[in-house]
Amino acid sequence: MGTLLRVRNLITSFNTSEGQVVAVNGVDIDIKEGRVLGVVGESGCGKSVTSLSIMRLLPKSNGIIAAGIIEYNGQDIVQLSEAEMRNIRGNEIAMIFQEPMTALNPVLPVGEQIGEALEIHQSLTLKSRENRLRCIELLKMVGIPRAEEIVDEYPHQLSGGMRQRVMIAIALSCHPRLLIADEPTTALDVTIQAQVLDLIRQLKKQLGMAIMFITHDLGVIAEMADDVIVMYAGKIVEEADTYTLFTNPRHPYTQGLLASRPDKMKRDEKLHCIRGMVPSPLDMPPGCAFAPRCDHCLPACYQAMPRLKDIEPNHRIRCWLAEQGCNN
Amino acid sequence: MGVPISQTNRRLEQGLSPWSIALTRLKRNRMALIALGVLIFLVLIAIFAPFITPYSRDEITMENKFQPPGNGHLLGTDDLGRDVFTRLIYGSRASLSVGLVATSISMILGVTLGAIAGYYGGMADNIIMRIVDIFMCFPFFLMAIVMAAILGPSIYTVMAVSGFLSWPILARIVRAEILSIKEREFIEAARALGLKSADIIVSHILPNTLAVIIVYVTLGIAGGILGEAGLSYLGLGVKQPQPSWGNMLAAAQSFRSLIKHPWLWVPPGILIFITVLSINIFGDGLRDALDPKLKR
Repeated sequence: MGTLLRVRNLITSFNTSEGQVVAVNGVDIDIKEGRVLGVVGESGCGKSVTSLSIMRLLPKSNGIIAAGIIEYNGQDIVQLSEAEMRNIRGNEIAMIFQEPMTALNPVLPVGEQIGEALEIHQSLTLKSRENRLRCIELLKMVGIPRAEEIVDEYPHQLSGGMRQRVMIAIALSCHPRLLIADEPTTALDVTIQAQVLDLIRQLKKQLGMAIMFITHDLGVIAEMADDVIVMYAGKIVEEADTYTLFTNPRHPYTQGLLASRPDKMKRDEKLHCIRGMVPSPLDMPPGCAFAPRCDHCLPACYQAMPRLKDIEPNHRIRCWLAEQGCNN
Repeated sequence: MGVPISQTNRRLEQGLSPWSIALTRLKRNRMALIALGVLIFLVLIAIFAPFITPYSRDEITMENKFQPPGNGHLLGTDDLGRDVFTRLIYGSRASLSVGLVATSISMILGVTLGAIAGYYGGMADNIIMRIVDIFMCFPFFLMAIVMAAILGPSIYTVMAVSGFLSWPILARIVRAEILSIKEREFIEAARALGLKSADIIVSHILPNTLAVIIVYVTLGIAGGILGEAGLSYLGLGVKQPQPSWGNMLAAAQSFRSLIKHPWLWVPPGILIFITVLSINIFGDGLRDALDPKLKR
């Protein structure tokens, strides 16, 4: 299978009043056709900024892709003009947002918001019969009952789960080959979460698109992803297929994350947590960003940032422990 | 077992578009409805003026001058023997059309420039907002008088002057609204779909500011009518023989008419008062109806 998206050494930074903040620092990503890549990490680790960089939707005023290539289908989209990029957005790469409550326009009926994408990318005039039929078909595809009526309803008339289904319908309206789902279930309650995940998985099978699934929920990753990237402070710290990552995590941060899950806890046991805080992006330690919080810290950790090193086929970690050949 | 009324009401609102919700809420506001009725009545009078009065607008009969109300002249006659009632209802045409046209000018300018400034920000914003600041420094009447003096008094001058002097406020309001709306997630979602900036402004942002614009525009019409009255009163607006409420009020400039002929200036004064009051009450009602935060 071919590589659909190839990101190399992506560096995205923001100009803020306190100085330049590097939010994504040298990230490499490969997404193969039809595969699901999970991206995990805590808030502020650069997951969402990575996805916005791929869509080229960084805030114009201060966000810049400082370096790197983002190759979609063999074409570097960092170099594309805004007009060429608009052709890719929604058509080739679509996005599902985190908050279904705010990601739909409150004053437009949902049908119009789906139809809009069809109008731009498939030249079906908005409010035409075919456009409307397509919208209803899409709503049915995402499992919305009474699609013929819902198409004329406004977002405030729908529940959170329904709205997220509408968002998915909008994203899939033009059959994108890559879907970026930025925490699509975080704002939903647990039962709805399961339904929406089921839907995404089923639609993926049906339409054969690749998905970049961003979340901080390891349970969701275990269920959805084929491969996983763990990010910390703007860098990838571990990369493996899902099974390997969950059975044999090698980076101390990943190990900490997995140990912090509440599911295997006994009653009255204290929840494991990773001590300390994520360092401020304005004040990164010189060596490994995780070193101050790490239990296996070596002197080298404070000196320089380790490379992302292959330790097994398809399993790479960024850690001095691996560099120096110790096994933890 | 009956369903409580409040619950059925809520369910009714659930199934409606934002506009029909606003309409239902407006219908519950009796003052606003009365005001709307008055305004519709005035507009109808202005449109059907020739059918309402037997006299023609500028018909001069010198022997009948300064007739008090009665004797076939409902509101008496003026210094040239013209029927005051006739001139009053023809005058509503001038006053109302000045209000409408002036507000349209200020709406087109204000919304376009405000939207550009708010959405694009940066240079465009800076330039437009400095122009707004400059315009806001001009005292309205002084500017209006100077412009009317240069362009010559006519109804079109009044329209242009009120229109071009009142857009900056609307531009500021629209800009502020857009600044907050463009940061909302659905705008980002629209961009992620590949929409052009112009499409995003027209189909996603402006519909969200419509409520504010409608309310401001309604109130702006009242401002236009008052501006017309003021300028025409000073003889810089609508020119005789065309009547307007403002230039009819000018009769009060003569001390003799002020004391002895109140039928010349009381009726236009009352009409201006009623019209502006109705517009303001209706505008307030609209604001309450369109404000989603006041969900009752």
